[in-house]
Amino acid sequence: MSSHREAPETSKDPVTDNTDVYAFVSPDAPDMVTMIANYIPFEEPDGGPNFYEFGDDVLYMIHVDNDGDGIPNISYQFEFTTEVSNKQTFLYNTGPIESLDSANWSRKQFYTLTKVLRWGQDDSESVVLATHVPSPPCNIGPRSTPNYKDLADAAIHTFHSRRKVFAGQRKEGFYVDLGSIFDLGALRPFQNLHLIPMAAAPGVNGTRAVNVHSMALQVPITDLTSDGTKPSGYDDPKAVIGVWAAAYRRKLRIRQQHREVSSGPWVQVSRLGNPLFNEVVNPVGVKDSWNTFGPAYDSKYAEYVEHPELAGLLPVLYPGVFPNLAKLKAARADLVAILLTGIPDGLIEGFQNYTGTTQADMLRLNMAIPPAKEPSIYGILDGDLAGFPNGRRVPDDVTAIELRAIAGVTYPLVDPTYTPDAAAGQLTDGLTPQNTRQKYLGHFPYLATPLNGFDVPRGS
Amino acid sequence: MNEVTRRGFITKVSVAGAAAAIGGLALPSAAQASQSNGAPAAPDHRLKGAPPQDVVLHIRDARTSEVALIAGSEEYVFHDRQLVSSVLHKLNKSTKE
Repeated sequence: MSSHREAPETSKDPVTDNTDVYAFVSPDAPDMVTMIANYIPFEEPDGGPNFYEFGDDVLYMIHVDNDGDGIPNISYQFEFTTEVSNKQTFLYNTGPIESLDSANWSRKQFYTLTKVLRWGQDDSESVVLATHVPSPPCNIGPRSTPNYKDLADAAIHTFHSRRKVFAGQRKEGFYVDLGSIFDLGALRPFQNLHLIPMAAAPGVNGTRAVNVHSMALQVPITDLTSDGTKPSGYDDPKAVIGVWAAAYRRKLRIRQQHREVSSGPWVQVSRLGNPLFNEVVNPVGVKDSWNTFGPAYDSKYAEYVEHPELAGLLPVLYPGVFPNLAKLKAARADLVAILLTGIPDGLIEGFQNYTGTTQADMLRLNMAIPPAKEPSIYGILDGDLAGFPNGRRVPDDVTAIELRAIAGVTYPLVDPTYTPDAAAGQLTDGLTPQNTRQKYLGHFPYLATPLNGFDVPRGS
Repeated sequence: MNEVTRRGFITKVSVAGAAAAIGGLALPSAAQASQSNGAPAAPDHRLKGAPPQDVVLHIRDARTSEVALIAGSEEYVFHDRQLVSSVLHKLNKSTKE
């Protein structure tokens, strides 16, 4: 949940709270791209009797910009409908759920997947790719969902040859020491150096025992390029796409006794491109409004990237540890490149993910760079060109990467005379994928099987 | 004004206002709806036949008489000084009851 409850309004509306977006060239299918958008943060596995589901009154979109203007060229739209077969019981299921059409399962959710070209524009066109596709149930326990892996596998829908889609509960893949980071920016491995010191300690993963709802899509690279052909190389401009997700609600909600109606056009209420952008870059005064705009308007927020609050806080919170960062007052052109425009060719050998001068918060994926043979969770900072900020893979340690970047590790890209503080390259909350409790999958949908509430009760 | 009376009043005004707008004016294209938030424009579906069950009149700016009619999945934005004046007069009268 790099963007969990990150803004005041989305924190009150979990089904529209976009927690993470991932975009990567699929490691097991290098001619395919996988895009994942997660919603509903902090799903406790034992959250019965209703558990969790996507919003039937929410429009979910994964947007792709392939011409660098921050406006979607290709969008994948998910619309959900819940069907309750037994309204006479308080239970989610009245027996074991052994198939997606089990009569024991009362509250099923289905979705329609639509591909939209030029969403929001006068010449927009759309085609339905799949309809009435079942989501799997939530993972409840050994009596209710005894063969959960099989249920989840059955919910992977293949369409138009090799394309795949899945929408349902998965194990939360993001790992972060929430309790420490939001306790005045403490990083447990370094907290002996904090302004309010305590003994150094290992990180504690705040998402270790929670699930999330995930929409995952896998399509050929050529489905996403501007001309439908394969990029010729990493430096081919059409190799780079910008990816973000957004959620929309109808403009009006009318509540009457026994009836509720949503009416009017769709209004964006949530969006997410790069991890942590609205979480720790935007100040609270703009978070809600940022969520209502598309990325093409992000030049309005560039000041928060150029002079990030966190860069000013680190030298204060860790006295004497970041002397060079403390003196760095110039606008952070490196962070603007990473988060708002992409990194142009020539700065990092064999890499670029530049989409042009339009400043837009999008995950920028260079689809011509193949999956790494030996991935590093520190991505490009560790020489792994297939990792964040080249798109984002599930295991990437985006917390450490962004902390290190903000602390100055990437500033030499724009000013070779700058020497980052030694500590800048060491920053971490002390966590790795080993702390996620469940191993990621090496295949679609990549996020692990969700935890069940019987084996992982609240507080585990 | 008690809640039941107000609710009845607003429903009547909404339908009357909507009827006045539909009967007396050519509705602008829904694509002309404000896009200041970057949200996509809705397609133009002019109302045909019987009005939908829930029609909401929103006075967006009384000073410029800008109003929006929201029905189904669409929103129609236009200016109607007479309509705004009529609605505000009724509202003013109702709050004094």
